[in-house]
Amino acid sequence: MTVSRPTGPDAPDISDVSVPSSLAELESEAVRHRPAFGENAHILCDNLVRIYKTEGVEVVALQGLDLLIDAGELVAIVGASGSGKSTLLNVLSGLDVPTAGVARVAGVDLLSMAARDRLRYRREVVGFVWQQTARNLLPYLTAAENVELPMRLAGARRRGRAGELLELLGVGYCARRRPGEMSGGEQQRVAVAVALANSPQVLLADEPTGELDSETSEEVFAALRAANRELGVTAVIVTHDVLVSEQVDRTVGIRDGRTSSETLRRASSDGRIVAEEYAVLDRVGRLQLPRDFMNELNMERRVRLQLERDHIGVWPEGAEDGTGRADGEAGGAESGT
Amino acid sequence: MNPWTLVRANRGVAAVLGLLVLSACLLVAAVPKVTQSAYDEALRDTVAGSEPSRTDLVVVSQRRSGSGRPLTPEALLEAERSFRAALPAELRPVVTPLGTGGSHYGVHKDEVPIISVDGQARSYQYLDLGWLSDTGRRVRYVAGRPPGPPGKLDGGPLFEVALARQAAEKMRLSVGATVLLGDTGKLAARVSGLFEPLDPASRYWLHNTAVRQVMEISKPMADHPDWHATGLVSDASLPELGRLYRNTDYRWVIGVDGPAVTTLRAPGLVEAVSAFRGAVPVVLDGPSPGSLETALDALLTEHLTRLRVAESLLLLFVGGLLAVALGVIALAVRLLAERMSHGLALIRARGASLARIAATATATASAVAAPGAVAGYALSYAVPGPVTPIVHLGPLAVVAATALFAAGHAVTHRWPRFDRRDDVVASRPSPRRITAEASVVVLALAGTYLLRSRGLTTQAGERGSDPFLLLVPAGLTLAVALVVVRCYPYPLRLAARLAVRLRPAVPFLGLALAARARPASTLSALILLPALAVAVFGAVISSGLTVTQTTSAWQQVGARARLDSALPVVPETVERIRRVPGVRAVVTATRTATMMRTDMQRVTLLAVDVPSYRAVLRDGPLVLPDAPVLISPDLENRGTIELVGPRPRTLTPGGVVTGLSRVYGGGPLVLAPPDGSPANTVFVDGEGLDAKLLLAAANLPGAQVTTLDGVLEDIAETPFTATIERAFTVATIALAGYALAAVLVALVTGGAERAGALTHLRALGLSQGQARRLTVLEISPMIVLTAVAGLLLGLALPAALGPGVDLSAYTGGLAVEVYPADLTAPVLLTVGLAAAAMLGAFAYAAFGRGRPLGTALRGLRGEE
Repeated sequence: MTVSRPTGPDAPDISDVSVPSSLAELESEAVRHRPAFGENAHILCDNLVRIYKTEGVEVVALQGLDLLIDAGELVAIVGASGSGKSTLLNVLSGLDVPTAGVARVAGVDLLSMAARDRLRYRREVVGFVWQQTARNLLPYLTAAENVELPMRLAGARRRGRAGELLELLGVGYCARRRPGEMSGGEQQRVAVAVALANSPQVLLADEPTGELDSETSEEVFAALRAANRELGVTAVIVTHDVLVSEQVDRTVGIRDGRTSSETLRRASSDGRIVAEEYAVLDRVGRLQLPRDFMNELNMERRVRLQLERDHIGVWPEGAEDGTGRADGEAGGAESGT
Repeated sequence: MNPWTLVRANRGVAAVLGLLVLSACLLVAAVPKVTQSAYDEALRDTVAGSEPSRTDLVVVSQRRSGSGRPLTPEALLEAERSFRAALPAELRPVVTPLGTGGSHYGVHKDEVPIISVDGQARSYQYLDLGWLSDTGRRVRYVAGRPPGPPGKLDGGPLFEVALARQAAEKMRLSVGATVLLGDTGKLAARVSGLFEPLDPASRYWLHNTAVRQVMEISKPMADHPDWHATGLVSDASLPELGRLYRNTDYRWVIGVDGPAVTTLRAPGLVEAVSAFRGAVPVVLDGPSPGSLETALDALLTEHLTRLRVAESLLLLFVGGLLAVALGVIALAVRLLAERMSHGLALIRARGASLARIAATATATASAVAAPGAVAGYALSYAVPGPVTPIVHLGPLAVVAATALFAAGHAVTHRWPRFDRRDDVVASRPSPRRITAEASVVVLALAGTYLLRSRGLTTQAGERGSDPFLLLVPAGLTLAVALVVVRCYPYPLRLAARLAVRLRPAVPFLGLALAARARPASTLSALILLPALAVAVFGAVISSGLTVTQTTSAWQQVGARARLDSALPVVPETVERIRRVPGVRAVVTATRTATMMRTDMQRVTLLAVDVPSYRAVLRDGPLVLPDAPVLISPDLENRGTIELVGPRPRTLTPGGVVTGLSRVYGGGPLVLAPPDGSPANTVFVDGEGLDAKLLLAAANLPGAQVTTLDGVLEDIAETPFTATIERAFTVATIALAGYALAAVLVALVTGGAERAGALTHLRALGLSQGQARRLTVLEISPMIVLTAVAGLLLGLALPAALGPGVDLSAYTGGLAVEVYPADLTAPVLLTVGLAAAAMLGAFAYAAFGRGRPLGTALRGLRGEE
């Protein structure tokens, strides 16, 4: 990548900026003006790495993933199979330990937890829902008993809590039914109730609608959204389901073990939902260009960057200088600052 | 989580586990009871079969001087009470009160020669004088009256005596006869009456045979035996008898109650008898101290020695059986744990601590095991026998082991994660595991060496059993099982490499599935192999025992039946014997005790026609070489044999015959052609020979007939031998059952994965038949390899441990040939078990075919 600095009248004037005299000053200056990365985030992953070793072969499932989620957010995580979504969710739910990096959920550092802390974390901080309806519930317990189970495990059984949760999620009528007597959608909504039993701060769901038809998926997603909005639980949903990913405030894309894109949705002035897709820039300035953009412009190995006043232009190798506007506009991609 | 909910949810596996626990508890509680009662039966047989004078406690005081106190029945009773007071506590429950059983006391003055009867001189006759307690209840007078007080004759004492009718008739002494007796002073007796003993078979009279009948005693160098009768004197004569202290014995018999002497009491009794032996001279001190005469302690010690041999062997079998049972229980617990694993993983992920997971798994396994154990324990009470601590502790140990196995599985939930690949071929064992396995192998080999050099049962009597050596066979089996499991992948790889070149896909797929099976599947090898090895070992030992018992019986009889007679056997007698039903052939022989001229060594000469005798022996293990003169091995290399005696002979041996000399006590034996001496031995060949019929046909006074079947029955039907044989049978059947259970549990354990693989393959075009063959092929490498290893180990174990296991106590003294004489039973056992296991696999595969492919695949996706 070649980088050119802007020159001419549009270039910013830096003559009046005071220059720090030493490295220590530089550092203190940085700390004074900028908060630490993800300081206020409810879920923080910084340069998260997870390597599996299977019979001598190393598989890098997470390759320096960064992720920030604020409290009360409803976030969907999407990505191709094998991109590391489920690994990320396992790490966040305390079922797996990352190899390196930083992972913090609700102020709990997931790398330095002792076994006892991990148990408490699973009991009190997170709740989760798996894809397979059968895997979420014990087949020989009723819905109410399944919901009560985490409370009993935590040693804090609250009477009526199970019924309340089931009512909230629209499956109050299933309280006395066993999983075998419920539909897939009902089972998943009960599973959401189980995940919420101990009032967790974070709800993690791994493809909760993966086995369901669209109508039932809608019901389950409604249950998840109800939990998010009415109980204030931060919800992270790994999904392939467009119905789900298009209804959340933010969708994070993962590619090859890294966050690659984010789609933010907001309501426009005329009431329509406007979705804007962003590429993710990590702390050291790396970003993943969308694969179809690269294919379109035959970008391979090297690109040329051009810093403009309000954006950065990216040109494939061999294209004309970025200042030649006609060429640059036609053959390059530009990144706004 | 309520364990009963989990039990209900997994009721099939729970039922299997419950049954396994039940059977293990029943075995562990019932087998000791059965064996203990067999030991007691053996001891009762020993006590009942021995002379009362050997088993009862007899205090004997030989009078060497006249006592200061007059001898009265009261004085003797007082002494009796003081002996009883000195009895150690262990002996008190097993002795009979005075007047019952064999308990009584008496005085006996022997070696009193008869000089004349009513003035007529007698020679070789003795009239001993005796007094017995309790005679009033023990005799019935048939002539005259009971003896009265003593009188005087020629200035010497005259005793009135009562004689047993039988003895009086033999000695020609009638009521009223006056007998002059020779002693230091003048002594005479008058027969006042004759009696017959009431219940002559009672222990009281067995102690006093000399009173009941005339004893014939041959003195060395005498040409005529002396006849001894005993005359009983009255209570009033006792003080007078007491003054005749020469050759007088006082005897106090403290009877021992046979059924009360149990194996459990035996060790304590041996010590108590020894203590009592020491106490008697203290109780009865003075010029004529007492001593204890009994062989009870020796009998008990001998019994305990045989017991230790039996216990060592049974411990081997029952220990092996229990180990295998626990192994199968471990497999079943594993299966249960796998079935619960989804639920446990879920509650672990939802916040259950590891301790909670362990508690839930343990409680669930215990909830299944406890009722099974109680049922097994209760059923064991249907088996007769004394209740020893192991009857209570065994089932408890089984339940505890089951609970421990379940708790151990909780460790797999340390991390609530799934989906870890484990391959038999690819997974590498940790150095720690390799070291542990190598240690087991080395320990087993070292133990085998020690066992061969020191013996397991040969010195059990002196040293007691060595627990380490008792563990050796189990250790050796475990070592071989570990080696098999460790080496299992190599032939599998080779076979898969060969199979990949074949056109059909099933062999390669089957072997590939076997190679990719989880390591847990090889666990059943650890059970199947010991089960097979112990079963084959038992079969080999059992057949060796049977063969050796038969050989021993042949060596003791020398034919199918043998008649020995002091009188000559004439041709008419032989002809009568020949006509007895079942008799095929008869050979006469003359047995003579003679001596060798060279060193005057005693030799038994059997003058017999060797070819005819060989024909009689043709079905048996005794082999006669083809030569007219044969010798026993101890006369080998001595060249020509010169025999002295009434008919001196010079014989040139033509061959050696082994084993036959045991017929005549094991001394040197010479077989030579008949020399015309009258026959005194008849060897009979035939089927179903009856000793009584043969004896009746011979009609020779004093003749004795010994049959092979009779001797074999004596050897094989002793309670000890029967117990060992029964234990072999029970162990073999139980082990076969457990081996089958292990294979089936292993099949069910891997069932879900196998079904998954088969469903995928069926979607690719695998037919039902191919799927069944695939399942059988998948399980067969393990079964075949384990079966072969088990068979070889079972056959090798007797050879490896042979010198260490002395079974001669069960074969009439002959060492057991431990090498497998007949491979049919072990091979059939192995092939049968392997075939049953493979049939089980086939049935399992056939059972799963009814599921539609679509449903199966949907189910599979759900499981992943």
